[in-house]
Amino acid sequence: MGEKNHEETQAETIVGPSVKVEGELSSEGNVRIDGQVVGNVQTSQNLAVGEQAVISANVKALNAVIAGKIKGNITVDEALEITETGQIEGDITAKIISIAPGAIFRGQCQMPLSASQETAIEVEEVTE
Amino acid sequence: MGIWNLELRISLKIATLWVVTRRVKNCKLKIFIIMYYYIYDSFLENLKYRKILDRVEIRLSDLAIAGEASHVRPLRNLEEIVLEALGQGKRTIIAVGNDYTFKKIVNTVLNQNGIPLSEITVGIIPVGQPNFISEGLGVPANEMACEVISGRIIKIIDVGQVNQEYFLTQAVCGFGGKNEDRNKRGNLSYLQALHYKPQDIIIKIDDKFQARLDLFHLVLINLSLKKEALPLTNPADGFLNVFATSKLSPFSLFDKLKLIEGEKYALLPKTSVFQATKVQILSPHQKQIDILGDLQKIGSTPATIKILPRHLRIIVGKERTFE
Repeated sequence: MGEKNHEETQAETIVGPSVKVEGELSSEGNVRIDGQVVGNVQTSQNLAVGEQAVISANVKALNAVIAGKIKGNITVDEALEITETGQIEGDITAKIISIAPGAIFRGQCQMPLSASQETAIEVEEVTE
Repeated sequence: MGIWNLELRISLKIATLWVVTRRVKNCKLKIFIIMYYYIYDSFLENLKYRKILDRVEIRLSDLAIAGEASHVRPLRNLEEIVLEALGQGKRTIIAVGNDYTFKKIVNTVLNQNGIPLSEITVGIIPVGQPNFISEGLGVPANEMACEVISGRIIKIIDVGQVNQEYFLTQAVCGFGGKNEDRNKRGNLSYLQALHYKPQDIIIKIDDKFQARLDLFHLVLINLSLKKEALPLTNPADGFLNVFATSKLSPFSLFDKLKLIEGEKYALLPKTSVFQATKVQILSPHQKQIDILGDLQKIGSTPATIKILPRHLRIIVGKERTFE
């Protein structure tokens, strides 16, 4: 995992293993984190967090795949995937959430609904 | 023959040859005259360059782009010649020489305040070594370069700045920063640098965040030097592409050095990648680390490296490393 390079990940921003980042890590492109981050992480594109990564920060992304440790709240616009090695301590918000067996998650979970989904639920309630 | 040569030289000195372009606008014919000013570096006085220079001058004449020329002499340095030429209204300055010649001309152009940079165009006819910059710009060596000058494809590119010094291509420190003599010794200079010990370093990106690592190799790329570089960078995007490689295993070091030499930074493991407009490099243990710009030492830590977006008009060839 730690040997992944820029070409394989197609990420525009990469925090490599054995690197410690402090501050506001923001990007308009895909981000991959294999090292440590303290502060905030924000991208308008996809975020990949490697197995070795340790993040102590609030995280915002379009989509995210988490295989490492995150202490902080995660807000994802579309899909959030926590793999079997993922460990999250904080609240998560995403439209689609997938948590693999073996993953650790301590926090609250929110799934905001789109307007059409909310309408569908209301219709179902009326029908009942 | 002697008279012919003399005539040719006189005509090259005094003739202002032009490229005429016609633009019909409002039914009027407009004619633009472009005057080229050639500056020959002093090392070209060496007899071994005589034949090359003859071929260059003949080719320039054939292409009708010969112009006024000056030669750097012990009592007339390159900076003075550039400033004098600009003062006389010359706006297209062509370096005849190597990377160092070109860099001095570019530095002088960038440091002067009298004439807007949007009016000045620079180019190079590479003669002698090293020629890394011209390779990145797609300008072939010797008389072949005359076609590029004649083609006059002009790109406005970003310029990097380390403290008060400029670079066009890349700034390097760490392992790569030990290779100032790469120009003279080629890849063998890497062997000498194998004893390099990674150093604790802090890289601040755009005043937003900082990365701390045991640095093996750091490169900030504005313009890729090789077409096979990974990734190929765009020198007009207003960003520096930062590749910071942490300490590597000694067992695979030679393979990794080949990647560094081939500018395939995207294939290097343990490499952090950022885009930035301003980078500060600090060495927390107070030990100064050299920084090379365009493969010459131009500073040391602590240093602030910035990108000056779309700062320089430059003549490039079709074989350049960027669009």
